[in-house]
Amino acid sequence: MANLIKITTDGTPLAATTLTITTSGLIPANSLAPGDIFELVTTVKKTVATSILNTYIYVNTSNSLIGATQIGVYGGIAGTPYGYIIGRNYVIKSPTSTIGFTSGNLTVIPDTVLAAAYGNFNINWAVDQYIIIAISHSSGASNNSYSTSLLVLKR
Amino acid sequence: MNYGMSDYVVRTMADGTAISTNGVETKSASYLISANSVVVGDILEMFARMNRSAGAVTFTATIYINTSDTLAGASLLATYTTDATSRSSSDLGRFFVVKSSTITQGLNNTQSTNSRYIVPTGAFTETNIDWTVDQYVIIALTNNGAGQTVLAKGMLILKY
Repeated sequence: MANLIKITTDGTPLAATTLTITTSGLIPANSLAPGDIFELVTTVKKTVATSILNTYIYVNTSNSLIGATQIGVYGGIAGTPYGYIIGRNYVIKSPTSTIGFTSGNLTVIPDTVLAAAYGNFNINWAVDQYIIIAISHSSGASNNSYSTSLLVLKR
Repeated sequence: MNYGMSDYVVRTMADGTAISTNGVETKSASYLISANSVVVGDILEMFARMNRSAGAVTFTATIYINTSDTLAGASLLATYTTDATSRSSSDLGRFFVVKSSTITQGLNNTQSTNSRYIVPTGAFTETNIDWTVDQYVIIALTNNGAGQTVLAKGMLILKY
């Protein structure tokens, strides 16, 4: 196993309600190739109980949400869960096929039983790719949500 | 050695002490993490395994950390109470992020779950653990009824 990304510093807090990058990490070109399996674990937290915190996982060739591919999501929960840990596993089947849970599958658990087929993502691992954790929440400026860690392991 | 890869901080599959008393939290096993084996910026993944060798009531597993090999003064890291008497064995997993020299962050420590991935009730627990000194991770077990024996079956802690 190798750590492709390990971030343990807090991400950028989100004060508005707009979808915003909280943290991201670079996977350099050719760090992953067909036949590889990688695991992603991220922790996110919020500070206001009534806020609904949504977390999105993206991949992009630039550190931006513009043109990014969504590869995971969790959210929709209000109340006292002030944070959660999301796990995902991805299998690189070919240069144009990386499979994992569907991009819209709402779960924190990486080893659950899906109600749908796997998501099939066309990600070119021969070039630099950024793993991006972006969040949105339902509360306004008094609320701060952010990631507290991001780990990507090559298995 | 750690070449940017996972490393074992603890890897022991030896059985712990069997606990047959009822309703008393008792240490079954403990595992030493030597000083400076963990540093700020590390992420730990812990797996604890417990088994019921006799009986048919639920049991509670609690994971503590302490600078001495005792429950007195130990800090709670995690807990899980089996949800049915049919559960004769259990794995308990957790992630911990070493955010700073005084903050090691994990799932809410009173959340009863065996899973590393769950939407908890409550905030992350931030425990002040001094990793520059020896620390003992302790599995304590409680029988929630009479006539039962439970014991720790091993511990694996990976460092990323």
